[in-house]
Amino acid sequence: MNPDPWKKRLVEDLFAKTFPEDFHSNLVKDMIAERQKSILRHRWSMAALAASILLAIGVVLSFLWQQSMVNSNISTVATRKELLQTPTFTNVKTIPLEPAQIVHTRSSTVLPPPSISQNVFVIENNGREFQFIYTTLQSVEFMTDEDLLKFVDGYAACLVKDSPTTSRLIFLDDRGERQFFRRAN
Amino acid sequence: MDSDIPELTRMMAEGYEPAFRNFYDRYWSRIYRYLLVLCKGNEQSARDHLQTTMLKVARYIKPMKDETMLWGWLTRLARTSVIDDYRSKRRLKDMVSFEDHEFHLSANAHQNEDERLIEALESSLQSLNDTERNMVEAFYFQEKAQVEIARENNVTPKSVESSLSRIRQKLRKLIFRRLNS
Repeated sequence: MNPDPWKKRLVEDLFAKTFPEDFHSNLVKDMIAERQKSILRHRWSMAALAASILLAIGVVLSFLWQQSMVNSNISTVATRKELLQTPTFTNVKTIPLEPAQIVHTRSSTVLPPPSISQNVFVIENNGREFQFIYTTLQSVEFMTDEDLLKFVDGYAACLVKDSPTTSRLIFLDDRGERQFFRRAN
Repeated sequence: MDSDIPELTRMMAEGYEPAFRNFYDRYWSRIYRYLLVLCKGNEQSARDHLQTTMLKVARYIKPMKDETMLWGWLTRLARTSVIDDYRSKRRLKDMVSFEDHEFHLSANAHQNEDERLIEALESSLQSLNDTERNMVEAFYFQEKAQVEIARENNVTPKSVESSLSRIRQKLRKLIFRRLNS
């Protein structure tokens, strides 16, 4: 139904002129203020969302980075043959030990069970001597000043610093063989 | 005029002040009349809901593709305001029944606000006396100026203005009574 235009105009007139004078202008001002608040709220929530996303990405990247570091260490062991270089260490001696003979550490003394064989590796490099005790147990004691880096999958490892920028990661495998890997710091 | 709705609503969403004034001038009267029907002619209630509706518009406005979409959204906001008020006050007797006015969001529920008012107006016009009805028709139907009506009736233009004002007030009351019945 299309009402007569004049009736429509009359209806509009009847109800348009019943408001206080400043009602409309105040309401428009309130609307504008409300919109500004709404925009501000929206921006804050977007900023909070962005910060949350960045934080989550940071956590994930940090986790992935740690994982990749672990993986790279493992892959170093896995590809050690590829990385094998001519050892510069000389005068490597392997000294079999009796089971109960010695196991000295700087922090404690361990007397392993007799059934476990042990070897002491003495490695000289440029006049410095490094000694390792290797056991078939997954433990290794270093009788040197170098620090144990890690013991991965049956391999003892020790970092020997050749210079401020280069170092060697020394692995001892479970057959008593020595492997040397050069690794940049 | 409808073609500028996307631009108008986009500018409102961005907080552009002139767009709010433009929107308000264009829609307040129509929303108010819609609310008058919903509130069964309760002017104060309709006015309160007009404020609530307009503030909701400001809070939630988004770009709309056309007039139909915008008006549908506006009436939904208005209905929600009335329903919320009803729920909070639980005064069913003062309110229009939900079923009567299709409060659920049917597509054409929002098309009838002027029809309801004009129906009430038409029956209210019958309650005017001949002089009053002639004056209304001369001013609104024949679109005569107040000076012209005054000359034809041998009265002053000021007198015509007062008469029209009095007649409008009478019509408003009659319409509210019919909306409320």
